[in-house]
Amino acid sequence: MLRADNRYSRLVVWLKIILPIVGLVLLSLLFLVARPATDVQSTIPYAKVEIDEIVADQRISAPTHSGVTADGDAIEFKAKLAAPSPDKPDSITSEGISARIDLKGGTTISLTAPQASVDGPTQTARLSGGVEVNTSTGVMVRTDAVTTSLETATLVTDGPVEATSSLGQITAGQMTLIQQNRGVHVLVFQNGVRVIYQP
Amino acid sequence: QQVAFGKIANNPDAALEITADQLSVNQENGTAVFDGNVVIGQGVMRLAAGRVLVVYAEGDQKIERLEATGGVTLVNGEDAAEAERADYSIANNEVVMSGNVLVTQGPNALTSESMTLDLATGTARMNGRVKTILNTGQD
Repeated sequence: MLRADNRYSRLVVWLKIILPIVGLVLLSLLFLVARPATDVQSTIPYAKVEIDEIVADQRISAPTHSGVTADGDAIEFKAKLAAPSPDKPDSITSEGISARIDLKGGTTISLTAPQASVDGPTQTARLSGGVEVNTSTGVMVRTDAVTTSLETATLVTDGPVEATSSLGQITAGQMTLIQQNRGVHVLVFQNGVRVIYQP
Repeated sequence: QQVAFGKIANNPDAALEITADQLSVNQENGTAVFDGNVVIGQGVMRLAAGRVLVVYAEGDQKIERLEATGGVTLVNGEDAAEAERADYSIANNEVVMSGNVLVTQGPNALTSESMTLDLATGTARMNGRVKTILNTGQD
């Protein structure tokens, strides 16, 4: 090879060797060292409690139970969470309950409550913790606890109720939904009723 | 026959309060029935009856009239009237009582077949075999 006599050519010859090596080093740095400082998995915070709870006991999240009663009223129960209740055998406690009863006559009654316990043998559900009942005939009822059956479209409140409807403000000692002989459902307020109507 | 009934004119817009033993709201056609010593109160007027059916006006949710049956007593101010049945129409602020009506005003009493009481003016018109017993009160 012709000996490179002047400085510039010697420089170029060396550069031809050094530059590729530097390139190689950079490339390897990029791949080998590029791993992030900390492991991604551990930086996202999540509650371990929830998982232990889920793993620990049997539970169903977002269960729904729907069916049609013998006399043709559709009943549907939805909940956020349901788990077998520890004290009573084969009954379920659930949270965030919303129930809907579609009466044959066309009226719908919807109930919402924070907690409920569904009793297997008697097929009844007791909604408690402040229940709100709305009917499509424009009646809105608020009471503390309601027992409703999963087999027939009936409903009994434990205690006093306050309701608003086209009749105005209604307060009563108790309220029940019963089915009269011709299959007509009637919402009955009893134990002393007081209605205030504003003409 | 025209009779004055209760001095105070009844304010038709005053709130109406109904108390009863039981109220059942039919979930199909929405009719409401009060049962068991029902008392309807508005202003100074009190209407007590065994059973009251609520009749809504067509279409909107306003109450058109209340049909009271099962022995009705109406007290308006210091006058009282009894009958078998009464229809209290809120719209035109009047009570129509029918079925051997008995009106007592202080010492004297009047009976008739039916009576129409206009709550706004406090006048009652009695018709159908009106009998008046004026008690001159010597005894």
